Amino acid sequence: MKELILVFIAASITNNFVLTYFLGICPFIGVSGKIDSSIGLGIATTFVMTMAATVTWLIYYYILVPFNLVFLQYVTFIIVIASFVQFVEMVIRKVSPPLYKALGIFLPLITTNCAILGLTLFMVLRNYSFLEAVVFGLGAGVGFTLALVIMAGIREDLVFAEVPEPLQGAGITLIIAGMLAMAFMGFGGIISG
Amino acid sequence: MGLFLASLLSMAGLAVFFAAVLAVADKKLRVEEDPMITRVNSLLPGVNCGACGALSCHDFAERVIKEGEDPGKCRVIGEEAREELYRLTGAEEADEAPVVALVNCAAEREHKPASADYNGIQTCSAANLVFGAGMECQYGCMGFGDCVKVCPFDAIHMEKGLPRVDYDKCTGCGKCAEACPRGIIAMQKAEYDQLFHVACSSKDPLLRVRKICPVGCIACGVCEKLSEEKYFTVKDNLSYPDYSKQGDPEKIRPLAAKCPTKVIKEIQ
Repeated sequence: MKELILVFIAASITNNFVLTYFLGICPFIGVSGKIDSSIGLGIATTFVMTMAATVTWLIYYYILVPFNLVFLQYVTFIIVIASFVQFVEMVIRKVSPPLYKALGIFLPLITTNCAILGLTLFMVLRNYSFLEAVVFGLGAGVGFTLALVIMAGIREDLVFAEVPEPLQGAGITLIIAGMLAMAFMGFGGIISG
Repeated sequence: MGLFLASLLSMAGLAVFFAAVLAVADKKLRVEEDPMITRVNSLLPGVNCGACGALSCHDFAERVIKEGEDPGKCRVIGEEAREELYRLTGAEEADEAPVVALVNCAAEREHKPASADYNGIQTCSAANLVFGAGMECQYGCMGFGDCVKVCPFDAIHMEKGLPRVDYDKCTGCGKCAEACPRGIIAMQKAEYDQLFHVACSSKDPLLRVRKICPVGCIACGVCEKLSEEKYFTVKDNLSYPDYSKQGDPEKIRPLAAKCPTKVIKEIQ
C-alpha cells in the first residue's frame, strides 16, 4: 500500500509530467486559458492515461514479452492511446457538446500528447507491477490536471495585468510555466520516485 | 519467420479488437446531426478563415441552419455554391457588395529612406516594436509581408517591397488587415465597379512627408477643393475618400490626376 501511495505522489507532484519532465506542453499552453475547459481536458487526459497504462501493461506483459515482440511497443502503445482518445471524443461529444466545442482540436490531439506515450514507456522502464501501473497512470493524470488548472487560474487573473507587448500571449505563458516548474522543484526532496 | 508471423498476427489482432470496440462505441454514442448541417458544411469552402464571425466552417453551417443566419455572410464561397446554399436554406439573397482589401501605402522600396538599420526578426509585428523598423515614415508599409503570410487565398504578394492585392482572388476575409501592425490595409465594400482610395496612411504634416516620401499624401487639399461634391475630405494631414460617392469615375479621375504626388489610386 505504501508503495502505491509513493508512486501516486511521485507521478502527480514530485515528478509532475508537465512541470518536471516538460511533457505535454502543447495542451498545457493551448487549453489553459479557462479553468472550466482545463478541468475538462484534465479529466479526459486522466481517463486516457489511466486506461492506457492499464491496457498497455496487460498487452506488454501478456502479448509482447511472451512472443518476443517488445520492439513493437511504440506502435502498440500508440494504437491503444489513439483508440482511447477516439472513445473519449465520442463520449464527450455525446455528453457535453459545449465542452467538445471548447476543447476543439486539443481533444483529438490528446493522442499526440507526449505525456501519455511517455507514461507508458516509463511504466515499462521502471518495471511497475500491474497495480502500480494503474496508480501511476492515475497519478500522472491528476498531476497533469493539477498543472493545467493552476496555469488556467493564473492566466485568468493575468487578463488584468499589464503585460509588455512583446511578451503577450505565448511568451508570458512560457515564463509562468518556467516559474511553476521551479516551484515544483521544491517538492523534489520529499520522496525519490 | 515465426517472429514475423507473431508480430503480424498480434498487430492485426489488436487492430481488429480496437476497431470492433470503437465500432460498437460509435453505434451506441453516435450524435445525430441534422443532415442539413452536413449538406451546408459540404458546400462551404472549409478553410475556416473566420470572416463570417463563426469559429469554423462547421460552426457557421450550424448557425445557418439553427439560428437562420444569412448564408451570404460567407464571403469566400463561390458563386455556384452560394446559389445552392440559398436554395437549400430558402433564405432571401441579399445583394451585398464584395469587400476588398485596400493597401493604403504607395511607397515602394526605393521610396522609403531608412533612419537606421533593422536587423531583427523579419516580421512586421516585431519590426514595428523597434523604433519603427528603422524607417523614417512611422505610418508606411515595412514590407516584411505579415499580410502575405496570413492570406489563406494566396491573394496578396510582395512587389518591390509593397503588398499587391490580387483582386480576382481576394475574398475580403480581412486577415491581412488584422495582421498589419500599422493598420495600413483597410477593408472596404466595393459598391461600384471602380474604387478610388488614398494610398497613404501618414498623418505627418506636409513638410515632413515632402522630406521623407515622394509618394505620400501631403494633405494639400486639391482633391477636396476642386469639386463641390466632397469626394475627398482632408483631416489630420490626410485625405479621406467618400466611397459612397464614387459611382461616376469620370468625375473623380480628373481629381486623381491633379494630385501632386499621384497618391489617389483607382482600382477596377
